[in-house]
Amino acid sequence: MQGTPIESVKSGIRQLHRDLMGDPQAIESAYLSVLTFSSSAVQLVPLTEVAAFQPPDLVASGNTNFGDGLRLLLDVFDRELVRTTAETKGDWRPLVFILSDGAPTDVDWPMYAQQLRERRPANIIALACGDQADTQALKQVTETVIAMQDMSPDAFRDFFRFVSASVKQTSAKVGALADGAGITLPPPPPGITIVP
Amino acid sequence: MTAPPDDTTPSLIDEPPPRAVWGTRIPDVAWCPPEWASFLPDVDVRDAIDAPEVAHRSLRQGPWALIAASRRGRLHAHRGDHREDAIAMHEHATGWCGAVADGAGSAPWSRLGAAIATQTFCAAFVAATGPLGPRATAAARVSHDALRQFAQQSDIPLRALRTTLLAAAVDGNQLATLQVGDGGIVVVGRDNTVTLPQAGDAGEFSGEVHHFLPDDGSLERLVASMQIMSLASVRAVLLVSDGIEDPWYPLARHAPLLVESLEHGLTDERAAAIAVANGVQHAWRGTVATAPDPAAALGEWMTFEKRGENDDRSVLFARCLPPE
Repeated sequence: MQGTPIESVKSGIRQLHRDLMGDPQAIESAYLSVLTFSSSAVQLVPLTEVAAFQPPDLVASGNTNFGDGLRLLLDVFDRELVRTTAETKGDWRPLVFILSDGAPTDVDWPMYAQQLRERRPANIIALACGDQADTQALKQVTETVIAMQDMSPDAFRDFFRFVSASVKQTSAKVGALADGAGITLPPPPPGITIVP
Repeated sequence: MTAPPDDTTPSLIDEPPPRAVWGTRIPDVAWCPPEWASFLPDVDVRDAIDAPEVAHRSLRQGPWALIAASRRGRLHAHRGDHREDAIAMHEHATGWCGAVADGAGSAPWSRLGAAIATQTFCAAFVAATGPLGPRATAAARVSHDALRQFAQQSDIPLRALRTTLLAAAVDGNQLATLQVGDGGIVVVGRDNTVTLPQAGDAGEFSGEVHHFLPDDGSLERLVASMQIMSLASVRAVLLVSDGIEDPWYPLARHAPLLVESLEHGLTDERAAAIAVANGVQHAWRGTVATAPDPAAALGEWMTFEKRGENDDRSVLFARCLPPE
């Protein structure tokens, strides 16, 4: 992703942060992290409470090392998430949004995609941006894949509003994922379609 | 004269994180749609309609003094949503029955589910006869069936009513406890030891619960959870929804301090001890058990704050008082 779209994503993250800062429940309980993957994956911001979050700068690149991104995501889950134990109340199950406008350029990604599908450590929503995104690869990671053909700043703005609404809505008691009763997301904005 | 602040100069003092600003809105939708009201003939809706912020009630039966309160959480108040917790209690000739329920936030009509579950369970228990265990089992079935019947009559899916249910019933010298979903039941012994007869039903992450009424299998789960014990060594029973359990987690460790604060008051020293133990900040000071109106005081006790803990809160506290 590069050019106007990457600028729109940066703007969208700033907008998401501003929006969550206006929600008292988010201030008290939401954490944000930003990971990028191009030639390799980097965690630009570790899980950080909303009040202390600093929107990062994003650098565009041509490669799509999807496998390294998924590997890093699994690693972050293991390192930064708190699970409920007899002594400790766990975090809310994280909500992960994966944005991609291309196809994987590495060969290892199916292995990590399978781990994510089997372990289900998060509610993952994948956004296929534009007509070059590989929706079938995203489908290997999560059943919830949405597509946005229009990559204009307005379209990204609407998408990040959807992200913000999703974060606010998902901090509610739900059935366990194992029982097939996961979260219910708000309806996606116009221009975003659900990939069957 | 003081120089104007320079925005480019970094502060030498660490600024505290911004404080969340909470509002309060009255729900702008009916607690129960008018067209469904006739499907709730045995459900007392006064708690929901007349006391949307905090409902409380008390009961004396023989040596037992029961108080219960249910308070709308800050998140629901901020968003203008109804309270989704419910409480109920009934007496009978040789004991009492009490229940607490927490409607699932993801279920659109869970507030009705919680009210139906608690009230039908208690009413069915006191109406039944026979040994304690079969009575409690029958009450569980009535409650489960009432939820399913309501869903059918109002043409909504069962999962729209999803609720936890925690219940305790006393008959003569026996106590029965049952639970499906999260929250906690605490039994306080005469030697002040606390036990949790039911295992909680929490998942790997917060807010995830494996079983709710009236899902398939939930009735069996509720009945299977039943524990019956002699009252000879029991002096109090506490039922709490997860709005209380979470900030006092783990309940097995913090329940003694919780019971102590209800019975002996929130002195500055005790409030400080609680804050150190689990981060709960009590602004209200007082002794619930000896307050002029203990049930109302319980509602005030529940105004404590803990960052990120803004759910509805419900407590039922039953004490067997010594002879005067």
